[in-house]
Amino acid sequence: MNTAEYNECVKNYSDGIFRFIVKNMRDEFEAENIVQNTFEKLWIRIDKVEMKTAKAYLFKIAYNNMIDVIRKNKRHTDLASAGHVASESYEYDNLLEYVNKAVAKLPEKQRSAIMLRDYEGHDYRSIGDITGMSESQVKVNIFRARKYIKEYINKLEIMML
Amino acid sequence: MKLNKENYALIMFDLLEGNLSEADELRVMDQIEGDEFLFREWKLFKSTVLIAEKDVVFTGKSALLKEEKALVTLPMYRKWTTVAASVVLLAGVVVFWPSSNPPQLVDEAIPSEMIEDNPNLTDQYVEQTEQRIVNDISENKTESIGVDAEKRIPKVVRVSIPEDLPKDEKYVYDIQQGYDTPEEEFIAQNATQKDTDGARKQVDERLLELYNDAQLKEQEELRIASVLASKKEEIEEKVLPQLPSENIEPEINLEDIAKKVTPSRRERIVAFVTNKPIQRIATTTAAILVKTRNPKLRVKPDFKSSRPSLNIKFESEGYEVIASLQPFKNRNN
Repeated sequence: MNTAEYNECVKNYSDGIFRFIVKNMRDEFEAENIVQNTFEKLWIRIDKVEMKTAKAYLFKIAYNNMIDVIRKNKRHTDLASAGHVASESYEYDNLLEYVNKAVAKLPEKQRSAIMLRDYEGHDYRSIGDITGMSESQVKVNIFRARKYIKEYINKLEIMML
Repeated sequence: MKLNKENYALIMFDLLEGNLSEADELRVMDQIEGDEFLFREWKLFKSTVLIAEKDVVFTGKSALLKEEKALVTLPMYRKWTTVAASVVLLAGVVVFWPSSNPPQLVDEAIPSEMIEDNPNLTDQYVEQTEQRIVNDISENKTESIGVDAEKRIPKVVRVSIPEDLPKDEKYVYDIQQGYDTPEEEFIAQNATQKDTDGARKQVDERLLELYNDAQLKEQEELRIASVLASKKEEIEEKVLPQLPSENIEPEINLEDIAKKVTPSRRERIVAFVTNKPIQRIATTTAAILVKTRNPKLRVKPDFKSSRPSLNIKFESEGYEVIASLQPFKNRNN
Protein backbone atom coordinates (compact mmCIF):
# COMPACT_ATOMS: atom_id res chain seq x y z
CA MET A 1 0.00 0.00 0.00
CA ASN A 2 1.26 3.48 -0.78
CA THR A 3 0.48 6.86 0.78
CA ALA A 4 -2.33 7.59 -1.66
CA GLU A 5 -4.02 4.31 -0.84
CA TYR A 6 -3.57 4.95 2.87
CA ASN A 7 -5.29 8.32 2.47
CA GLU A 8 -8.07 6.62 0.53
CA CYS A 9 -8.54 4.25 3.48
CA VAL A 10 -8.82 7.22 5.84
CA LYS A 11 -11.47 8.80 3.66
CA ASN A 12 -13.43 5.61 3.03
CA TYR A 13 -13.28 3.74 6.32
CA SER A 14 -12.68 6.16 9.20
CA ASP A 15 -16.37 7.08 9.44
CA GLY A 16 -17.46 3.44 9.43
CA ILE A 17 -14.93 2.47 12.08
CA PHE A 18 -15.89 5.45 14.20
CA ARG A 19 -19.60 4.58 13.94
CA PHE A 20 -18.90 0.96 14.79
CA ILE A 21 -16.87 1.86 17.88
CA VAL A 22 -19.03 4.70 19.10
CA LYS A 23 -22.18 2.56 18.81
CA ASN A 24 -20.46 -0.24 20.67
CA MET A 25 -18.93 1.84 23.43
CA ARG A 26 -21.22 4.86 23.50
CA ASP A 27 -18.18 7.01 24.14
CA GLU A 28 -17.17 9.40 21.37
CA PHE A 29 -13.88 10.36 22.99
CA GLU A 30 -12.74 6.75 23.29
CA ALA A 31 -13.98 6.05 19.77
CA GLU A 32 -11.90 8.90 18.35
CA ASN A 33 -8.82 7.61 20.16
CA ILE A 34 -9.38 4.13 18.81
CA VAL A 35 -9.79 5.38 15.23
CA GLN A 36 -6.57 7.36 15.53
CA ASN A 37 -4.67 4.41 17.00
CA THR A 38 -6.03 2.16 14.29
CA PHE A 39 -4.79 4.34 11.46
CA GLU A 40 -1.47 4.90 13.18
CA LYS A 41 -0.98 1.14 13.23
CA LEU A 42 -1.90 0.94 9.57
CA TRP A 43 0.61 3.67 8.75
CA ILE A 44 3.36 1.81 10.59
CA ARG A 45 2.59 -1.37 8.64
CA ILE A 46 1.78 0.35 5.39
CA ASP A 47 4.28 -1.74 3.42
CA LYS A 48 2.80 -5.00 4.65
CA VAL A 49 -0.92 -4.34 4.22
CA GLU A 50 -2.58 -4.81 0.84
CA MET A 51 -5.27 -2.40 -0.23
CA LYS A 52 -7.78 -5.19 -0.82
CA THR A 53 -7.49 -6.43 2.77
CA ALA A 54 -7.17 -2.99 4.34
CA LYS A 55 -10.82 -2.66 5.36
CA ALA A 56 -10.92 -5.96 7.26
CA TYR A 57 -7.48 -5.20 8.74
CA LEU A 58 -8.60 -1.79 10.01
CA PHE A 59 -11.79 -3.15 11.56
CA LYS A 60 -9.87 -5.96 13.19
CA ILE A 61 -7.37 -3.53 14.72
CA ALA A 62 -10.17 -1.25 15.86
CA TYR A 63 -12.16 -4.17 17.29
CA ASN A 64 -9.19 -5.52 19.25
CA ASN A 65 -8.40 -2.04 20.49
CA MET A 66 -11.98 -1.59 21.58
CA ILE A 67 -12.00 -4.90 23.46
CA ASP A 68 -8.82 -3.86 25.29
CA VAL A 69 -10.37 -0.56 26.30
CA ILE A 70 -13.61 -2.22 27.40
CA ARG A 71 -11.71 -4.71 29.55
CA LYS A 72 -9.63 -1.93 31.03
CA ASN A 73 -12.69 0.14 31.88
CA LYS A 74 -14.91 -2.81 32.75
CA ARG A 75 -15.56 -1.80 36.32
CA HIS A 76 -16.57 1.72 35.32
CA THR A 77 -18.78 0.43 32.54
CA ASP A 78 -20.54 -2.00 34.84
CA LEU A 79 -21.26 0.71 37.36
CA ALA A 80 -22.53 3.07 34.69
CA SER A 81 -24.74 0.47 33.01
CA ALA A 82 -26.21 -0.54 36.38
CA GLY A 83 -27.43 3.02 36.73
CA HIS A 84 -28.94 2.95 33.27
CA VAL A 85 -30.87 -0.25 33.96
CA ALA A 86 -32.37 1.20 37.09
CA SER A 87 -33.62 4.26 35.29
CA GLU A 88 -34.92 2.43 32.23
CA SER A 89 -38.18 3.70 30.91
CA TYR A 90 -40.23 3.41 27.76
CA GLU A 91 -39.86 6.97 26.71
CA TYR A 92 -38.75 6.17 23.18
CA ASP A 93 -41.15 7.26 20.54
CA ASN A 94 -39.81 5.67 17.41
CA LEU A 95 -38.56 2.35 16.15
CA LEU A 96 -34.97 3.42 15.69
CA GLU A 97 -34.63 4.28 19.32
CA TYR A 98 -36.14 0.94 20.33
CA VAL A 99 -33.65 -0.81 18.13
CA ASN A 100 -30.72 1.18 19.46
CA LYS A 101 -31.78 0.40 22.97
CA ALA A 102 -32.01 -3.29 22.16
CA VAL A 103 -28.62 -3.28 20.44
CA ALA A 104 -27.05 -1.66 23.46
CA LYS A 105 -28.28 -4.57 25.56
CA LEU A 106 -26.79 -7.26 23.35
CA PRO A 107 -23.72 -9.21 24.44
CA GLU A 108 -20.59 -7.76 22.90
CA LYS A 109 -20.04 -10.54 20.32
CA GLN A 110 -23.60 -10.35 19.03
CA ARG A 111 -23.54 -6.58 18.95
CA SER A 112 -20.29 -6.44 17.02
CA ALA A 113 -21.37 -9.14 14.58
CA ILE A 114 -24.68 -7.51 13.70
CA MET A 115 -23.12 -4.05 13.47
CA LEU A 116 -20.40 -5.23 11.12
CA ARG A 117 -23.03 -7.02 9.07
CA ASP A 118 -25.53 -4.20 8.79
CA TYR A 119 -23.42 -1.07 9.00
CA GLU A 120 -20.54 -2.16 6.83
CA GLY A 121 -21.96 -5.09 4.86
CA HIS A 122 -19.21 -7.51 5.85
CA ASP A 123 -19.82 -11.16 5.00
CA TYR A 124 -19.68 -13.89 7.65
CA ARG A 125 -16.07 -14.80 6.90
CA SER A 126 -14.89 -11.22 7.15
CA ILE A 127 -16.75 -10.73 10.43
CA GLY A 128 -15.15 -13.94 11.67
CA ASP A 129 -11.70 -12.63 10.76
CA ILE A 130 -12.32 -9.41 12.62
CA THR A 131 -13.89 -10.85 15.75
CA GLY A 132 -12.02 -14.14 15.92
CA MET A 133 -15.14 -16.28 15.47
CA SER A 134 -15.87 -19.05 12.97
CA GLU A 135 -18.36 -18.38 10.18
CA SER A 136 -21.03 -20.52 11.83
CA GLN A 137 -20.49 -18.74 15.15
CA VAL A 138 -20.93 -15.43 13.36
CA LYS A 139 -24.18 -16.60 11.80
CA VAL A 140 -25.49 -17.88 15.13
CA ASN A 141 -24.56 -14.63 16.86
CA ILE A 142 -26.29 -12.53 14.22
CA PHE A 143 -29.38 -14.75 14.40
CA ARG A 144 -29.50 -14.44 18.19
CA ALA A 145 -29.00 -10.70 17.95
CA ARG A 146 -31.86 -10.30 15.48
CA LYS A 147 -34.11 -12.52 17.50
CA TYR A 148 -33.36 -10.56 20.67
CA ILE A 149 -33.98 -7.21 18.98
CA LYS A 150 -37.21 -8.54 17.46
CA GLU A 151 -38.47 -9.78 20.81
CA TYR A 152 -37.43 -6.55 22.49
CA ILE A 153 -39.38 -4.43 20.02
CA ASN A 154 -42.33 -6.79 20.17
CA LYS A 155 -42.42 -6.66 23.96
CA LEU A 156 -42.31 -2.88 24.00
CA GLU A 157 -45.00 -2.59 21.35
CA ILE A 158 -47.29 -4.87 23.36
CA MET A 159 -46.65 -2.88 26.53
CA MET A 160 -47.37 0.37 24.71
CA LEU A 161 -50.73 -0.85 23.41
CA MET B 1 -40.18 -24.58 1.59
CA LYS B 2 -43.15 -24.31 3.87
CA LEU B 3 -43.14 -21.90 6.77
CA ASN B 4 -44.61 -22.96 10.08
CA LYS B 5 -44.35 -21.79 13.66
CA GLU B 6 -41.30 -23.93 14.32
CA ASN B 7 -39.18 -22.91 11.39
CA TYR B 8 -40.37 -19.46 10.36
CA ALA B 9 -37.78 -17.57 12.43
CA LEU B 10 -34.86 -19.39 10.84
CA ILE B 11 -36.29 -19.07 7.35
CA MET B 12 -37.06 -15.41 7.78
CA PHE B 13 -33.55 -14.88 9.10
CA ASP B 14 -32.11 -16.57 6.02
CA LEU B 15 -34.40 -14.51 3.82
CA LEU B 16 -33.26 -11.32 5.48
CA GLU B 17 -29.61 -12.30 5.22
CA GLY B 18 -29.93 -13.26 1.56
CA ASN B 19 -29.05 -16.89 2.22
CA LEU B 20 -31.97 -18.35 0.23
CA SER B 21 -32.09 -19.12 -3.46
CA GLU B 22 -34.21 -16.80 -5.56
CA ALA B 23 -36.85 -19.48 -6.05
CA ASP B 24 -37.08 -20.05 -2.29
CA GLU B 25 -37.22 -16.32 -1.71
CA LEU B 26 -40.26 -16.03 -3.94
CA ARG B 27 -41.97 -18.97 -2.25
CA VAL B 28 -41.30 -17.56 1.22
CA MET B 29 -42.38 -14.06 0.25
CA ASP B 30 -45.59 -15.45 -1.16
CA GLN B 31 -46.36 -17.20 2.11
CA ILE B 32 -45.51 -14.13 4.14
CA GLU B 33 -47.82 -11.94 2.11
CA GLY B 34 -50.68 -14.39 2.55
CA ASP B 35 -50.48 -14.89 6.30
CA GLU B 36 -51.19 -12.25 8.90
CA PHE B 37 -49.05 -13.79 11.61
CA LEU B 38 -46.08 -14.32 9.33
CA PHE B 39 -46.53 -10.82 7.92
CA ARG B 40 -46.33 -9.30 11.38
CA GLU B 41 -43.34 -11.41 12.33
CA TRP B 42 -41.60 -10.43 9.11
CA LYS B 43 -42.18 -6.76 9.84
CA LEU B 44 -40.53 -7.24 13.21
CA PHE B 45 -37.64 -9.15 11.67
CA LYS B 46 -37.12 -6.41 9.13
CA SER B 47 -36.92 -3.92 11.93
CA THR B 48 -33.82 -5.65 13.26
CA VAL B 49 -31.76 -4.42 10.31
CA LEU B 50 -29.56 -1.70 11.71
CA ILE B 51 -29.35 1.46 9.67
CA ALA B 52 -26.08 3.35 9.82
CA GLU B 53 -26.50 6.88 11.05
CA LYS B 54 -24.66 8.75 8.34
CA ASP B 55 -24.52 11.91 10.39
CA VAL B 56 -22.21 10.15 12.85
CA VAL B 57 -18.85 10.86 11.25
CA PHE B 58 -15.25 10.95 12.35
CA THR B 59 -14.16 14.57 12.43
CA GLY B 60 -10.43 14.04 12.74
CA LYS B 61 -9.81 12.77 9.20
CA SER B 62 -7.56 15.62 8.15
CA ALA B 63 -5.16 14.88 11.02
CA LEU B 64 -4.79 11.30 9.81
CA LEU B 65 -4.12 12.11 6.18
CA LYS B 66 -0.50 11.92 5.07
CA GLU B 67 1.17 14.09 2.53
CA GLU B 68 1.66 12.27 -0.72
CA LYS B 69 5.10 12.41 -2.28
CA ALA B 70 5.20 14.45 -5.47
CA LEU B 71 5.56 12.14 -8.39
CA VAL B 72 6.90 13.32 -11.72
CA THR B 73 4.54 11.86 -14.22
CA LEU B 74 4.58 12.46 -17.91
CA PRO B 75 1.39 10.77 -18.98
CA MET B 76 0.50 12.83 -22.04
CA TYR B 77 3.86 13.87 -23.34
CA ARG B 78 5.93 10.85 -22.66
CA LYS B 79 6.18 10.01 -26.30
CA TRP B 80 7.31 13.53 -27.08
CA THR B 81 9.92 13.28 -24.37
CA THR B 82 11.21 10.07 -25.89
CA VAL B 83 11.46 11.61 -29.34
CA ALA B 84 13.04 14.78 -28.03
CA ALA B 85 15.55 12.88 -25.91
CA SER B 86 16.56 10.78 -28.90
CA VAL B 87 17.03 13.85 -31.05
CA VAL B 88 19.04 15.61 -28.38
CA LEU B 89 21.19 12.56 -27.85
CA LEU B 90 21.80 12.24 -31.56
CA ALA B 91 22.67 15.91 -31.82
CA GLY B 92 24.96 15.69 -28.82
CA VAL B 93 26.86 12.73 -30.22
CA VAL B 94 27.22 14.38 -33.61
CA VAL B 95 28.50 17.61 -32.09
CA PHE B 96 30.93 16.06 -29.67
CA TRP B 97 32.08 13.09 -31.68
CA PRO B 98 35.83 13.02 -32.61
CA SER B 99 36.18 15.15 -35.64
CA SER B 100 39.01 16.25 -37.92
CA ASN B 101 37.54 19.71 -38.13
CA PRO B 102 40.58 21.91 -37.29
CA PRO B 103 38.88 24.99 -35.80
CA GLN B 104 37.44 22.93 -32.91
CA LEU B 105 40.84 21.64 -31.98
CA VAL B 106 43.07 24.63 -32.46
CA ASP B 107 45.51 24.98 -29.64
CA GLU B 108 44.94 28.19 -27.68
CA ALA B 109 48.66 28.74 -27.54
CA ILE B 110 48.69 29.74 -31.19
CA PRO B 111 47.23 33.18 -31.81
CA SER B 112 44.34 33.15 -34.22
CA GLU B 113 45.68 36.00 -36.30
CA MET B 114 48.82 34.00 -36.82
CA ILE B 115 46.80 31.12 -38.18
CA GLU B 116 44.74 33.34 -40.41
CA ASP B 117 47.80 35.10 -41.76
CA ASN B 118 49.72 31.96 -42.40
CA PRO B 119 47.76 29.31 -44.32
CA ASN B 120 50.73 26.98 -44.36
CA LEU B 121 50.95 27.03 -40.61
CA THR B 122 47.23 26.15 -40.41
CA ASP B 123 47.61 23.16 -42.68
CA GLN B 124 50.64 22.06 -40.80
CA TYR B 125 48.92 22.43 -37.47
CA VAL B 126 45.85 20.56 -38.69
CA GLU B 127 48.02 17.68 -39.80
CA GLN B 128 49.69 17.59 -36.38
CA THR B 129 46.35 17.71 -34.59
CA GLU B 130 44.87 14.97 -36.71
CA GLN B 131 47.84 12.80 -35.93
CA ARG B 132 47.41 13.55 -32.23
CA ILE B 133 43.71 12.54 -32.35
CA VAL B 134 44.60 9.26 -34.02
CA ASN B 135 47.17 8.58 -31.31
CA ASP B 136 44.76 9.55 -28.54
CA ILE B 137 42.06 7.26 -29.88
CA SER B 138 44.44 4.37 -30.19
CA GLU B 139 45.47 4.91 -26.54
CA ASN B 140 41.89 5.52 -25.37
CA LYS B 141 42.73 9.09 -24.38
CA THR B 142 39.49 10.70 -25.26
CA GLU B 143 39.38 13.73 -22.99
CA SER B 144 40.34 16.11 -25.72
CA ILE B 145 37.47 15.12 -27.96
CA GLY B 146 34.57 15.72 -25.62
CA VAL B 147 34.39 12.37 -23.86
CA ASP B 148 34.27 11.89 -20.09
CA ALA B 149 37.58 10.34 -19.19
CA GLU B 150 36.33 8.35 -16.20
CA LYS B 151 33.03 7.09 -17.43
CA ARG B 152 33.87 6.84 -21.08
CA ILE B 153 30.40 8.07 -21.83
CA PRO B 154 29.85 10.93 -24.23
CA LYS B 155 28.47 13.98 -22.47
CA VAL B 156 25.27 15.51 -23.68
CA VAL B 157 24.63 19.10 -22.84
CA ARG B 158 21.38 20.40 -21.37
CA VAL B 159 19.15 21.51 -24.17
CA SER B 160 16.78 24.41 -23.88
CA ILE B 161 13.13 23.75 -24.60
CA PRO B 162 11.91 25.28 -27.85
CA GLU B 163 9.85 28.39 -27.19
CA ASP B 164 7.14 27.47 -29.65
CA LEU B 165 6.10 24.39 -27.69
CA PRO B 166 2.79 24.58 -25.85
CA LYS B 167 3.03 25.91 -22.31
CA ASP B 168 1.33 22.92 -20.80
CA GLU B 169 4.06 20.61 -22.00
CA LYS B 170 5.83 20.56 -18.70
CA TYR B 171 8.32 17.90 -19.40
CA VAL B 172 11.92 18.58 -18.67
CA TYR B 173 14.89 17.55 -20.64
CA ASP B 174 17.33 16.39 -18.09
CA ILE B 175 19.65 14.06 -19.80
CA GLN B 176 22.71 16.03 -18.92
CA GLN B 177 24.74 12.95 -18.21
CA GLY B 178 23.82 9.49 -19.24
CA TYR B 179 21.30 7.92 -21.57
CA ASP B 180 17.62 7.28 -21.78
CA THR B 181 17.94 3.55 -22.06
CA PRO B 182 20.53 0.95 -21.05
CA GLU B 183 20.76 0.01 -24.73
CA GLU B 184 22.02 3.46 -25.66
CA GLU B 185 24.50 3.48 -22.80
CA PHE B 186 25.79 0.05 -23.74
CA ILE B 187 26.24 1.00 -27.35
CA ALA B 188 27.92 4.26 -26.46
CA GLN B 189 30.28 2.65 -23.98
CA ASN B 190 31.26 0.00 -26.47
CA ALA B 191 31.61 2.58 -29.12
CA THR B 192 34.41 4.37 -27.27
CA GLN B 193 36.39 1.19 -27.02
CA LYS B 194 35.89 -0.14 -30.51
CA ASP B 195 36.85 1.08 -33.83
CA THR B 196 35.79 4.74 -33.88
CA ASP B 197 34.22 4.81 -37.32
CA GLY B 198 32.34 1.58 -36.82
CA ALA B 199 31.13 2.57 -33.38
CA ARG B 200 30.02 5.95 -34.56
CA LYS B 201 28.09 4.38 -37.37
CA GLN B 202 26.54 1.89 -34.97
CA VAL B 203 25.46 4.61 -32.57
CA ASP B 204 24.05 6.71 -35.37
CA GLU B 205 22.07 3.80 -36.73
CA ARG B 206 20.78 2.80 -33.33
CA LEU B 207 19.75 6.33 -32.46
CA LEU B 208 18.06 6.65 -35.80
CA GLU B 209 16.20 3.43 -35.09
CA LEU B 210 15.12 4.74 -31.71
CA TYR B 211 14.01 7.98 -33.27
CA ASN B 212 12.08 6.17 -35.96
CA ASP B 213 10.53 3.80 -33.43
CA ALA B 214 9.38 6.70 -31.33
CA GLN B 215 7.90 8.40 -34.37
CA LEU B 216 6.13 5.23 -35.43
CA LYS B 217 4.77 4.72 -31.94
CA GLU B 218 3.52 8.25 -31.84
CA GLN B 219 1.85 7.91 -35.24
CA GLU B 220 0.27 4.62 -34.15
CA GLU B 221 -1.04 6.14 -30.92
CA LEU B 222 -2.49 9.08 -32.80
CA ARG B 223 -4.11 6.72 -35.29
CA ILE B 224 -5.62 4.59 -32.49
CA ALA B 225 -6.82 7.70 -30.69
CA SER B 226 -8.52 9.02 -33.81
CA VAL B 227 -10.19 5.64 -34.46
CA LEU B 228 -11.39 5.45 -30.85
CA ALA B 229 -12.72 8.99 -31.01
CA SER B 230 -14.58 8.34 -34.24
CA LYS B 231 -16.13 5.12 -32.94
CA LYS B 232 -16.71 6.21 -29.35
CA GLU B 233 -20.46 5.68 -29.43
CA GLU B 234 -20.19 2.29 -31.08
CA ILE B 235 -17.60 1.14 -28.52
CA GLU B 236 -19.68 2.32 -25.60
CA GLU B 237 -22.77 0.58 -26.92
CA LYS B 238 -21.37 -2.69 -28.23
CA VAL B 239 -17.87 -3.39 -26.93
CA LEU B 240 -17.88 -2.20 -23.32
CA PRO B 241 -20.87 -4.26 -22.20
CA GLN B 242 -19.15 -7.41 -23.49
CA LEU B 243 -15.87 -6.78 -21.73
CA PRO B 244 -15.13 -8.47 -18.40
CA SER B 245 -15.37 -5.99 -15.58
CA GLU B 246 -11.61 -6.04 -14.93
CA ASN B 247 -10.95 -4.73 -18.46
CA ILE B 248 -13.05 -1.64 -17.94
CA GLU B 249 -11.39 1.51 -16.71
CA PRO B 250 -12.30 2.52 -13.15
CA GLU B 251 -13.88 5.81 -14.21
CA ILE B 252 -16.49 3.93 -16.27
CA ASN B 253 -17.02 1.11 -13.83
CA LEU B 254 -20.40 -0.18 -14.89
CA GLU B 255 -20.79 -2.25 -11.72
CA ASP B 256 -20.65 0.86 -9.58
CA ILE B 257 -23.21 2.57 -11.75
CA ALA B 258 -25.43 -0.49 -11.68
CA LYS B 259 -25.13 -0.66 -7.89
CA LYS B 260 -26.32 2.91 -7.60
CA VAL B 261 -29.29 2.31 -9.88
CA THR B 262 -30.24 -1.27 -9.01
CA PRO B 263 -30.82 -2.14 -5.38
CA SER B 264 -28.93 -5.16 -4.12
CA ARG B 265 -30.72 -8.44 -3.46
CA ARG B 266 -30.57 -7.80 0.26
CA GLU B 267 -31.96 -4.30 -0.16
CA ARG B 268 -34.83 -5.67 -2.21
CA ILE B 269 -35.60 -8.25 0.45
CA VAL B 270 -35.48 -5.69 3.23
CA ALA B 271 -37.74 -3.40 1.21
CA PHE B 272 -40.16 -6.24 0.59
CA VAL B 273 -43.38 -5.72 2.53
CA THR B 274 -42.97 -2.13 3.44
CA ASN B 275 -44.35 -0.65 6.59
CA LYS B 276 -46.43 1.68 4.41
CA PRO B 277 -48.63 -0.55 2.23
CA ILE B 278 -50.78 2.28 0.82
CA GLN B 279 -47.69 4.14 -0.31
CA ARG B 280 -46.40 0.92 -1.87
CA ILE B 281 -49.64 0.42 -3.82
CA ALA B 282 -49.64 4.05 -4.97
CA THR B 283 -46.02 3.91 -6.11
CA THR B 284 -46.48 0.67 -8.02
CA THR B 285 -49.68 1.91 -9.63
CA ALA B 286 -48.03 5.15 -10.69
CA ALA B 287 -45.14 3.20 -12.23
CA ILE B 288 -47.58 1.10 -14.25
CA LEU B 289 -49.61 4.10 -15.40
CA VAL B 290 -46.54 5.86 -16.71
CA LYS B 291 -45.73 2.90 -18.97
CA THR B 292 -49.19 2.59 -20.57
CA ARG B 293 -51.16 4.56 -23.14
CA ASN B 294 -54.60 5.93 -22.40
CA PRO B 295 -54.91 4.14 -19.08
CA LYS B 296 -58.19 3.90 -17.27
CA LEU B 297 -58.23 2.98 -13.63
CA ARG B 298 -61.27 2.23 -11.50
CA VAL B 299 -61.01 1.52 -7.81
CA LYS B 300 -64.08 0.16 -6.06
CA PRO B 301 -63.92 -0.47 -2.32
CA ASP B 302 -66.21 -3.07 -0.80
CA PHE B 303 -66.30 -2.78 2.96
CA LYS B 304 -69.76 -4.21 3.52
CA SER B 305 -69.13 -7.89 2.98
CA SER B 306 -67.66 -10.22 5.60
CA ARG B 307 -64.29 -10.01 3.85
CA PRO B 308 -63.73 -6.37 2.92
CA SER B 309 -61.86 -5.83 -0.31
CA LEU B 310 -60.61 -3.27 -2.79
CA ASN B 311 -61.47 -4.04 -6.41
CA ILE B 312 -59.24 -2.51 -9.03
CA LYS B 313 -59.98 -2.46 -12.75
CA PHE B 314 -57.27 -1.31 -15.10
CA GLU B 315 -57.73 -0.79 -18.83
CA SER B 316 -55.29 0.19 -21.56
CA GLU B 317 -55.59 -0.09 -25.35
CA GLY B 318 -58.25 -2.77 -25.26
CA TYR B 319 -56.60 -4.82 -22.52
CA GLU B 320 -58.21 -5.12 -19.12
CA VAL B 321 -56.90 -6.31 -15.80
CA ILE B 322 -59.05 -6.84 -12.75
CA ALA B 323 -57.59 -7.31 -9.29
CA SER B 324 -59.11 -7.62 -5.87
CA LEU B 325 -57.07 -6.76 -2.78
CA GLN B 326 -58.18 -8.53 0.34
CA PRO B 327 -56.74 -8.91 3.79
CA PHE B 328 -54.64 -11.97 4.52
CA LYS B 329 -55.98 -15.25 3.25
CA ASN B 330 -54.95 -16.92 6.47
CA ARG B 331 -56.16 -15.05 9.52
CA ASN B 332 -56.38 -18.00 11.88
CA ASN B 333 -52.71 -18.19 12.91
